[in-house]
Amino acid sequence: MTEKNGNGLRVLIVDDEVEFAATLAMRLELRNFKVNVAHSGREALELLEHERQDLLLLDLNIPDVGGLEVAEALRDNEDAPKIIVVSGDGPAAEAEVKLEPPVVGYMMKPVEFQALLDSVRSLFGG
Amino acid sequence: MRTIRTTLDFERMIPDSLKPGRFVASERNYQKLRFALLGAMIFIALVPVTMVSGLSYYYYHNLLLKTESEQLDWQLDGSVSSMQHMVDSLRSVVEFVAREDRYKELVSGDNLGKVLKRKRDHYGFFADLGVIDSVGVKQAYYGPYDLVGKDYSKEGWYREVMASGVHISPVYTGYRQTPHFAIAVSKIDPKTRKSWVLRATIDALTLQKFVNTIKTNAMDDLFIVDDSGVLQTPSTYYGETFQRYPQAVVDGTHHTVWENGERIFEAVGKIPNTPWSVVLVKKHFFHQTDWMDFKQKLFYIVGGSIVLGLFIIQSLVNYLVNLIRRKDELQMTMLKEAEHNDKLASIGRLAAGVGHEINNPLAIINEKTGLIEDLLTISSEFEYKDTIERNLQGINTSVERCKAITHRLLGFARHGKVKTEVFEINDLIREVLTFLESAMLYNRISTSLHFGEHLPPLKSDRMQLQQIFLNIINNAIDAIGKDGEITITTSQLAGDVQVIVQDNGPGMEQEVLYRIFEPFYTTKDMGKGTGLGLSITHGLVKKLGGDITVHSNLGMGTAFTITLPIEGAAHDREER
Repeated sequence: MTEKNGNGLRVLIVDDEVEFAATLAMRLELRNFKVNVAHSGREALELLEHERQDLLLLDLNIPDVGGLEVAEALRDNEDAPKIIVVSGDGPAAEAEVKLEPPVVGYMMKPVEFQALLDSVRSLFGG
Repeated sequence: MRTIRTTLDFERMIPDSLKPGRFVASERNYQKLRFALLGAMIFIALVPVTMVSGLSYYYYHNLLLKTESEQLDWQLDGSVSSMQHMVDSLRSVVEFVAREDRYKELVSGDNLGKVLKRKRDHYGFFADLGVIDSVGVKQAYYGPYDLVGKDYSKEGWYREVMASGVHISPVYTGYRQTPHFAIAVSKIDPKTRKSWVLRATIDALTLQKFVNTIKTNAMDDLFIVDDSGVLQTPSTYYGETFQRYPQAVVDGTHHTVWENGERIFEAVGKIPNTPWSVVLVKKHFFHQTDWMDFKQKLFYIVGGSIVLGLFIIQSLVNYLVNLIRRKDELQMTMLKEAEHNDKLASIGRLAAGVGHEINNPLAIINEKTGLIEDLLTISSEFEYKDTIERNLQGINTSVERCKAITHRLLGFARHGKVKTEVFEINDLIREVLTFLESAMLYNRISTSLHFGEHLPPLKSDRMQLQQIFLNIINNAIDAIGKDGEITITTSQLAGDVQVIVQDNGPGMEQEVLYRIFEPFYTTKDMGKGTGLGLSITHGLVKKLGGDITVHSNLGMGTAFTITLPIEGAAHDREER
C-alpha cells in the first residue's frame, strides 16, 4: 500500500450495511483517502452541509432518503461531490440510474475494488 | 450422461390441472354429457310426436267408427223398413184373399184351388192355401198334401191368429222338404158370426228374394233370423237356412271379433209384427282404403319425423359436445398458460429476493477479503502468509462465482426500465450471431437464415433483445453439441414480428419442456449451467410485451418461437 493514490480525497460512503461501509472505509483509508460514513440518506445530506466531500459512494437502498433522491438533491449544487452509485440490485438496476452529473458511475456489489480505484483515478486524476 | 437436476422442489407448485390423466377422466364426462343431452333431446322431441300421432290415431279411429256405425244404423233402418214393406204386401195379398164373407165360397168345391192357381199367376211363391174353421179344423185345403180335417186348435199359431188376427210363422220345413213359412189371417164371417182362418204357406225363397233386392255392395252380409236365432235366409258368413246365428238376437249395433281376428260390425233390427230380425254384417273399416291410407301416412310422417329428428338431434348433440369440449380445452390451455406464467413470475420474485439477500453479505465478504489482502500487503513476512494469501484468492474466486449467480437472480427483479429504440430485427440477429461465430465454428455448427423481407422496424429494447437471442442461440449450440444446424426464421404476423430459432439437436421430453422456463431447471451437466438462462429470457420477452413458446421432438430438435410486438410493449404484461 505504498501508493498513496487517495491523495487525501474526501470520500463519503452512504450505505446502511454497517459492516460493508466500515470495511470499505478502512480499505480506502489505507490508501490515503479521508473517509466518512453515513448509514442513511438524511445522515448523508446533513453531513454534506457541514463538510465538503469530493466523492460519494452511494447505495440506492438506504433508509429515510433513498439513494436516487440524494443524487437528485445534489443535482444543482455546484459544490456537490461526484457520485458513484454502488448498488446491491445487480445489473438490472443500472437502467434506472441516469448517468448525468453529479452521478458519474455505476458499480455493483460486490465491488471490484481495483475498478473502483481506477474510476476514481480517472475522475480526479493522478 | 445428462441428468435432470432441480435445485428446488417445485413439484408441489404444479396445479392439478397440469398433471397428466386429467383429460382421460374428462373424456368420460363428455360421453356422459353426450348421453344426457341425447336422452333429454330425444325425450323432448319424441314425446310430442308420439302423443300427437297417438291422439290422431285414436280420434280418427273413433271418428271412423262412429261414422261407420251411423251409416250402418241408417242402412239397417232402410233394410228393416224395406223388409217390413215387403212382408206387409205379402200379408195384404193373403188378407185380400181372405175377405170376411168368402169363407163359404173358399171352403166349397175347389174354389180354393182356383184362387191359389189365380194367385200363383201373379205371385208364384204361394205353396198351398188352407181354410180352418172356428174350432181349429181344416175345412178346405189346396196343395200337395191332403190335410183336410186336421185339427189345429192346439197349435200355438192358431191360438195367436185367433187372438191377434194375423200370424207369420218362422221358416220351417214341415211335411215338405223345402223351407217355407206361413201367413195366417183370421176373419169373422158376417153371417155366422164365427171366426175362420186362411193360412197360406209361402216358399222361403220369397224371403231370400226380398233380401236380395235390398242387399247392396256396401254390406258384406244381409240375412234374416227368427227370434230364437235360426237363420231364415242363407248367410255368407253363418251358413245356409236353419243354421244358428251365434249371437243373441238383440236390436242394435254390435262389434264382433271373429276367430280369425277379423273385426266386424253387426247390426240387428227387428221387423215389426214378424218373428224376424234383419242382420246386417259389415267388416270393420280397418280394411278400407281411408283407414289404410291414414295409417300409412301416419306411419310415414311419424317415422320420418323420428328418423329426421334423431338425425338432427345426433348432429346437434355432436356439434354441441364438440363445441363445449373445444371451449374447455381452450380454457384449459389458457388456464395452464396463465398458471404457468403466474408460477414463473412468482418464482422470479422469489429468485430476485434470494439474490438480493445473498448479494449484500457477499459484498461484505468481498470487502473483508480485500481488507485482509490489503493488510497482508503492508505486513511483514510471517509463517503462514503465503497460505493465507492463497486461501484468500480461493475466497475471491468463490465470491466471483456467487456474484455471477446473484447478479443473474437479481435480473428477475422488475425495476429495470425498457429503453426503446427502433431497429431491424434481422440486423440484431446477425449481430448476435457474430458474437457466437467462433463457438459455432468450433463446434461445426452451421446456420441457415430465412429472414423475412421488408419486415417493419421493431420498437423495443435492443440490449435486452440481444440478451434474449444470445441466450436462445447459445442454448441451441449447447443442445446440438457438435455438428449440426441452427435455422433462424423471421416473419411478420399481424402486429407482431415472429422469430423461430430451430436446432437439429436431440430434442426434449415433454417433462423437460414443461419446466424449461423454470429457474434453476437445467439438463446440463453440473457446473455447466445455472438453469437461469431460459427463465430470464422468458422474463425479458414478457417484459418486452412478447411471448416465447417452445416445441420439441425427441430426436428431431427443438424450436423456440419468439413473438415481439412491433410497436413495443403496451404495458408490462407480467405485472400482476
